[in-house]
Formats: sequence, C-alpha cells, structure tokens
Amino acid sequence: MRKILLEVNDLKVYYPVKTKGGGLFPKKQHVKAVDGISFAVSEGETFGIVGESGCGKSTAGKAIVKLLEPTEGCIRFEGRDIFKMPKKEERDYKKKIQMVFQDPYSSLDPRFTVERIIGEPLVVNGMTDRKERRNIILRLMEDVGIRPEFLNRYPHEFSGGQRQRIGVARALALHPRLLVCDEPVSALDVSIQAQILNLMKDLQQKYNLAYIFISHNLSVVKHLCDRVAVMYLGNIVELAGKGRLFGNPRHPYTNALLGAIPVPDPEIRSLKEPLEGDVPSPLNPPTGCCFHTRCKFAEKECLETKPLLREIEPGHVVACHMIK
Amino acid sequence: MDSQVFKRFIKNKATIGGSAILFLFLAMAVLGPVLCAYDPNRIDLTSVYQPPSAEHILGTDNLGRDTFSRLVIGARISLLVSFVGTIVGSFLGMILGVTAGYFGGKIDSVISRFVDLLLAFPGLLLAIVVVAILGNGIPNTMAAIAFYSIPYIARMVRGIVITLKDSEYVQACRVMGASDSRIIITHIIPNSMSQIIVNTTLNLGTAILTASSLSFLGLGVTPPNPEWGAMLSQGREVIRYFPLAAIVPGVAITLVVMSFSIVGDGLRDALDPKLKNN
Repeated sequence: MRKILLEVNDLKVYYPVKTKGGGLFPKKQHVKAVDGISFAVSEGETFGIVGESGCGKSTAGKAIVKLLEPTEGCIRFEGRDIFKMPKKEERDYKKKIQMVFQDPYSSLDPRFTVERIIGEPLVVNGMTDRKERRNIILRLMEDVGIRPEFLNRYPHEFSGGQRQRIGVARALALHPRLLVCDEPVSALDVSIQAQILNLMKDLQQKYNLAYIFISHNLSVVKHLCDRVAVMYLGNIVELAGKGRLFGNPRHPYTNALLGAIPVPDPEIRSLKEPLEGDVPSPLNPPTGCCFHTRCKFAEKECLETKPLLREIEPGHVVACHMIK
Repeated sequence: MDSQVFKRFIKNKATIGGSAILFLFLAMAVLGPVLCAYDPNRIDLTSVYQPPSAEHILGTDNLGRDTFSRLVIGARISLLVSFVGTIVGSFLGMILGVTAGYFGGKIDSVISRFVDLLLAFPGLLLAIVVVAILGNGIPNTMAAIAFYSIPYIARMVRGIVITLKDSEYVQACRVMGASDSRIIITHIIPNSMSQIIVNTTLNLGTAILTASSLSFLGLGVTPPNPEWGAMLSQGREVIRYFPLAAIVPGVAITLVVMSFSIVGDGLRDALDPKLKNN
C-alpha cells in the first residue's frame, strides 16, 4: 500500500449568490458547487475526477490548491490540514502542489517570455540567482520537449500544445508531489491531446508525481487514471479503480455516462438509453439522492434519504440505495 | 513584439501626421525662448494690432505683444499643465482602479462610489470647483486637471483588473504562492498598461481643452502668462475687427487636441489590434 498524500474529507464549497426577488433585502442563497466529497490520493497515483460541466469538479480542484476557501470539511496533505497551516508551512505546501490549467492561451502571461514564465515559481520562492535558475529552466524545457532556443520567445509564438507543455514545465519547476490538472487537454486538438497525455505519463514516472486529473472526457481518464471518481451535482456517486469502473459500473449515472461515449462505428447503435432531462440547479438540489430526478430506478427511498457511499467490493464505493 | 507595435503605429498615415504636429508643438515648447525674438510679456503700445509681418510673424495683440512669442511660451504652459495634470491624474486613477478591482468587496464599493461621485459632475465643472477651492495659478490648474481625469482612468482600470485577476495566469501565480503585491506589479499593471497609455493620450487632448477653458474663463493660468485659453479670451474681445488675435490660439488648441486624439487612436490600434473594429 502506497503512502497517502492527500486526503479530502467531507469537503463542501458553497458560493453565495443573490437571487432575484425579495425586494430590498434579497435572500442569500448558496450554490452548492461541492456538497461533501471525500477521497484520498496516494503517492505517485493518478486520481481522476469525471462529471459533466457544473458538477463541481473544478471547484474541488481549486479548493485543493487553495484558490478557494471551503465552506466546510478539511483537506489534509501528508496529514496536515491545509486550511489551518501557519504561513510558513503554507509556502511549503504550495511548493508541493501545483496546478495545470485548462486553457493554454490564458494560463500564460502574454507579456512574459518562456524563461520568465517557467522561472516565475522559482523567483516567487526566493531563487534569485539567475544562472542557477536558467539551468533549471533549460532542464525543465528539455523534460517537456520545448527546444532551448525558445527561451526568449513569447507565448503567442507557440501552438496550443507547446503552450500546454510550457504550462506543465511551470508547474514542475518547484518539484511538486501532486499536480492538479484541471482539464489539461480539453482545449487541444485530439492529435495533440495524446502527446500531452503521454508526456504527463512520462513525467509522472520521472518525478514520482501524483495527479488529480479533472476531466469530462472519459476516454482520456481511462487512458491515464488509476482510480476514478464520478461526480454529479457536487457529490461523488461512484469511486473505483479504473478497471472496475469502466468494466463494471454500478451507479445508474456512471452507466449513463459510459453509455454516452461515442463508438467510432456508424453501424453500431448504442444499446444504452440516453439520460433524459437536465441537471437540476445546484442552487436548489433535489432532496435525497441528487440523481433521483433523472434515474429510472428511483424509488421512494431515493427521494427521502441521501444515499451514502458504501463499499460494495474492495476499493469500489457507490452511493445508491438500489444497489444491495 | 514591440517592433511590431511600432510598425503598426507608423503604418497609419493619420497617426504620423498627428505625431508630426505634436512633435512640432513639443519642439516649440522645449526650445521656447530660443525661438522668440521678443519677450512675450513686453508691452509696446506703439505697435498694437499689427498684422503679420517680417518683424512679427503672427502680428501683435492689443498691448503690442508679439503673438508668435506668446504662442511659443503659451505652448510651454499649456502642454506642461496638461501633461503634468493628466499623468498625475492617470497615476492616481490607476492606483484607485487597481485597488478597487483587485481587492473588490467593501474597498471596491467605497472607491467606486467616490468615482461615481466625481463622474456625476460634468468634467469642466469639476475642474472649476477645484480651482474655486484652491485658487487659480499654474499648480492649481494642474491639480484641477488631475482631479478631472482620475475617475475615467479609475473606472477603466477597475474593469480591466477585474477581468485580469481571474485569468488563469494570475491563478497560476497564486498557486505558486506569490503575494498580492507581486501579482499586481508583475502581471496586473503591465497587462493593463497599454490601455492606460492609450486613454492617457486621449485625455491629454481634453486636458489641454480644459486648461484653456479654465483660462478662458479667467480661472486657470493668471495673466500676463501667455496661456492659450487666456490668449483666446483676450482675442475674443476684438474678434470683430482683429480676428487674428483669436484665430492663432484657437488654431493651436484645435491642432493639438486633434493630434492627441488621432495619436491616441493610432496607439490603441497599434497596441491592441483586436480592438480596432469595435
């Protein structure tokens, strides 16, 4: 069993919103973006979070890198609560955890050269020696496959895939233990996606990295991840190893998601029925099981009590009343 | 990257024309006394209302003072007042705008309401209020102009900063542990600079107009200093039988204001080609 690196415990992130109506004193409501999720990530592991847009997967990622304060719950990194750390420890934590962003066009400052972009985390963390810094930058550029001549180029001179490589190099500059990748390839061409994914796989071995890989693309997750959590409306509905989740999905939502993967053959009709209806508003989520409004197996129990995650096989947890 | 900006800038014919005119006036202001054959304030009652001649290129005014010399020295005052005023105003406006946009919340509310308050006054009225409180004279006119350009810059910068602070590269910077001041200085301000420069340039034209208007109303630069607005005001009294006295400063003001406007537009097109068609 590998050592547990990050532990998320009953994490809740609510965004306050003012709703229309209510006149002079509008009632404050909350968007329950993440509504109590728990999982753990071990050293060197790739943990996938999938779900459709608006299910709270990016919010969870942002809370992990401390871009957001959680409403409730805690996140522990190597056993220490990241939201109750003193300043000095927090700096240390931020070195160990970095993020790769979705959009390679807006995640690099257009006025910075490649050298400044990749070197920025080093400067921020107090490495002032220019020569030493440049050596590290050149090594990182080699690792991600950017030619050293490009040191003084600007982001707009690169393609999307190259920019994402620069973004990965920046994230690696501080030798992090865990990378939170928020849809790192969804803005790229399919042909480039594979390159970046393979690069990430190689880097994982080289640097002994753990990844939290947030994506809506199931085939990408299948390619890269060891374990996968499926999120729906701020909740984890199913969490299992990749083989089990894709081979033997139990939750009706996971089933529907997997059924929605297009098969590259026009002759084959998908056997599974598509989901009906829309995702309910996270402002006012349904009572009981969050999925009952669209679930064809839903019964009375599902409307009343919220199902908890239960282990049905070792390492395979599902939140559904109907699975005995 | 910067050479591209320059290329785009000089590709535009109107911008070159505008820059040339501005350069001419700037040179005039800098060289100043070297160009003047006469003391601009020397009164010579034996030669009042002279038409242009070899001796007085642009004639003389009601007290026999050489109009060309007054125009040259007036350029110094007008340009200095508007430059200093606008740049100080832009700087203060930028600080207010960045603070409001970046920190948001209550700070933003307080600053934005203050800016709204300033915007509620018509610009010139605001300048008149400032001069009325501080009294007239060159430094106070500068203060009036600064005060007058603060709200426009502050509001614009606030808008830019609000979009910038949520950009992914700023988030990336936060993830690596950078402080707010570092983020503001290395990312936010440089990325809003091009728009600040453009708007400052555009404001310069208005500032000259404001400075001249204040002097025209007798509130700005005090006589006998040869400010353009003051010259125009004096010329207005005799416009029926000696129009040249009003035409000369009037044309100068028009040219400079127009040039600033053209150069500002050219700068915007060069710095931010995406905005061009909007």
